[in-house]
Amino acid sequence: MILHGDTDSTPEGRGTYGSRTTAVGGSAVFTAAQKLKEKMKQIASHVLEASPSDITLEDGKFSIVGSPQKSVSFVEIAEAANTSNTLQPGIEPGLETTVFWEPEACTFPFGTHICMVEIDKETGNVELKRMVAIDDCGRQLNPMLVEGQVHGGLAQGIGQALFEGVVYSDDGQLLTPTFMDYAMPIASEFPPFELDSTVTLTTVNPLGVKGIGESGTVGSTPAVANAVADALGVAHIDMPFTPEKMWKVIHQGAEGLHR
Amino acid sequence: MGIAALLGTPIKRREDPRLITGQATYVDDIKLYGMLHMAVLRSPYGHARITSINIEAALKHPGVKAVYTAADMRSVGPVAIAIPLGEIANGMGVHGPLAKDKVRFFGDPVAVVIAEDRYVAYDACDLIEVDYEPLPAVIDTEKAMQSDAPLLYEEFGTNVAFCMKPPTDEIDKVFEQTLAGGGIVVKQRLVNQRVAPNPMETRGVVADYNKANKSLTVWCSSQNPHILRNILAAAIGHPQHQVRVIVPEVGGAFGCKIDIYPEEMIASFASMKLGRSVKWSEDRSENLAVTVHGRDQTDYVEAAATKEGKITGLKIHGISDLGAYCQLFTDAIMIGFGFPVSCGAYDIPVVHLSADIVFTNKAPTDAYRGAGRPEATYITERVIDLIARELGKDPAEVRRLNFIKPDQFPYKSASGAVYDTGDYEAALDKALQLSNYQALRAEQAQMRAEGKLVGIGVSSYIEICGFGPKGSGPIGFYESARMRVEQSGTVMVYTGSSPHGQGEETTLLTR
Repeated sequence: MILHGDTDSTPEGRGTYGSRTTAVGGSAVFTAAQKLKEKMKQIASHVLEASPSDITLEDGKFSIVGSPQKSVSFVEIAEAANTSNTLQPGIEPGLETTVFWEPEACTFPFGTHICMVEIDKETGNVELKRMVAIDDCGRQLNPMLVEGQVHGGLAQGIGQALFEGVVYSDDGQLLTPTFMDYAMPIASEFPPFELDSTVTLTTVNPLGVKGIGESGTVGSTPAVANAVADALGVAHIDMPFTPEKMWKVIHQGAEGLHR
Repeated sequence: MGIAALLGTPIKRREDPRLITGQATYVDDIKLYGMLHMAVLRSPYGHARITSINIEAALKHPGVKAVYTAADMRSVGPVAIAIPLGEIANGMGVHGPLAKDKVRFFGDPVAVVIAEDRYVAYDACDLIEVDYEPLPAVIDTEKAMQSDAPLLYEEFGTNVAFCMKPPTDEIDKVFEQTLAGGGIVVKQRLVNQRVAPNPMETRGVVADYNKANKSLTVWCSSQNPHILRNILAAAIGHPQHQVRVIVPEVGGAFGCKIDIYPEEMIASFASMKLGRSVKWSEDRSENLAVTVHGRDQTDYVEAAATKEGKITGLKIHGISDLGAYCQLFTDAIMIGFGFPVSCGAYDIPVVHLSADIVFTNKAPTDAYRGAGRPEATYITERVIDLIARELGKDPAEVRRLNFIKPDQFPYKSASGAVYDTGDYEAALDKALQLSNYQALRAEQAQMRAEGKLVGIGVSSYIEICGFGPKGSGPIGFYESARMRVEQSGTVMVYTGSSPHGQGEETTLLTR
């Protein structure tokens, strides 16, 4: 069971942001698991009459390295630790630990995104025709969740490039207070995302993980901006690339255009 | 299945059954006996002086339990700021939970009504009479920096909270030498427009004070329950051990639920005053108006490159729009999170970074998915394309030429960040291969010949993650884990990370 989000049941914590959960929170959980595993090995070594350094845990069983026929199960050791009154000397009853894991350095995920756009000359609509993303977040604990994070990140990154914008009037009135005015990206505006990854482990945490929560957003916005400038044959044009702005650029050469 | 086999296996999210069958509990699902409801009266002006507030009619409205204005809340707040820069450390942009004397953006909270139900609370808001004297507003950072601009904080005589302008001798020399050697300098003003994080679930809070044991329980849609507890306890002047924060299911956040907002403080204050639980649920228009926005950064960028396309120097003047107030990381987004990666994936020998961070009559900005790093990446990636265009080279190859090479790691960038590991060319090559880049360029040429407007864009980014290393932040950014193996063999893991849709329960469990 993974429990979170209650200050009375979890120790002091820092929360989820900056794609840090697996890199920092995961390292804390990993370290705690290693500590408990060592203690369980010690208890198992007493039962199996061997040195703790010779004990291995595989498939839910503790056994002596090289002789798997004699073993004691994970559950038996858990029960012994919590209930036995004959634990060997020097072993504190119970199986619980609290770990605070602090990173020594940051980690730097990376990748390359490539996209293709076509701008409709008549309507100014920018159609995203291809979206390829290669992201390297180090070791992937669960590739399905990595892919999910990239999907959401791409949607928001592309959203900034093509649709979104908070707009105020000169006297400070908010002109985008509803979804009638603030354009959120929707799934039908995206092509199927073509995703793959490279895996470069980090050395700054025991899991070798870097983080994936924000990568899709970071990489995709400039990929779309570069594609739109390329399509128009201009040096630069400011986001968002709304149909109105594109139409004006194509037909009138509007403000914000730098040929 | 063995653990080694599970690691790296695509396992479906354990969270989804409860989420997609409507069994999960979000803050707004929490209903307590005798619970009161809060509505917030907000400024209809971008900038105005409050000349008077009359709450009498609202107080008399049937079902209304209390109406509070800034005058009632002198002891509460201020809204916390993690790293106060420049004049912010002297109080500029620091604000209490409700506006006092002046409103500084559309949606600035002015008063709250606590009532028996939500409709009554909203109705009574309409009965509060606020007299405003509208003031000229300024919504553009570059206009806000001009000497005749309307001032948000008159006592400071400027809208610029912090200014950083190191000497330019070194970068000027690089530009001169590059040009003398036949190289080029590209210049561009780049705007990263303001966007709204837009979580599917808006913000919400339920505060429940138990007068008998003096304990306050707060349910809140937050990314960081412990930081909320610690800051909230200090803001309302209640002992930390008597404040418990529970973060139930969170329907997205994207950075905007890191901040500790006025509403959490006000609902807690009201519950303690009234001895009853108080709920506030943000509506969508409030979310778009008052929950922090992201980006809103203008950059003046110059880059020098050899005629082969190798970048010799990069000069960035960043102007960050803080909005009307400074919240938790508002002032640090550009300088603290963007500037360190201003060289991106590239081996750029000299970088010059200068900054103005400026208040305007808009909602505060703060973290939004990427927070500073998307803005920095937008700069490098646009710059590479400008250089490629100027030199008539393929933008993918200009990237390759400038990449930090795998044997250069750990790599210290000109902006001071130490990159851990990377193989940027491998990712580029894989993207070129998957996109079938050469064929795509051929297809583009053909479509262009048919008169179509077709473009291809490449972007090679880096990110900083795993905040924060020892000694870097205002407090230790560790993470905690408590783990217990029960008699049955069940492993209980209590983590200080607090997910808001990432599927952490699945990530951290292998069976």
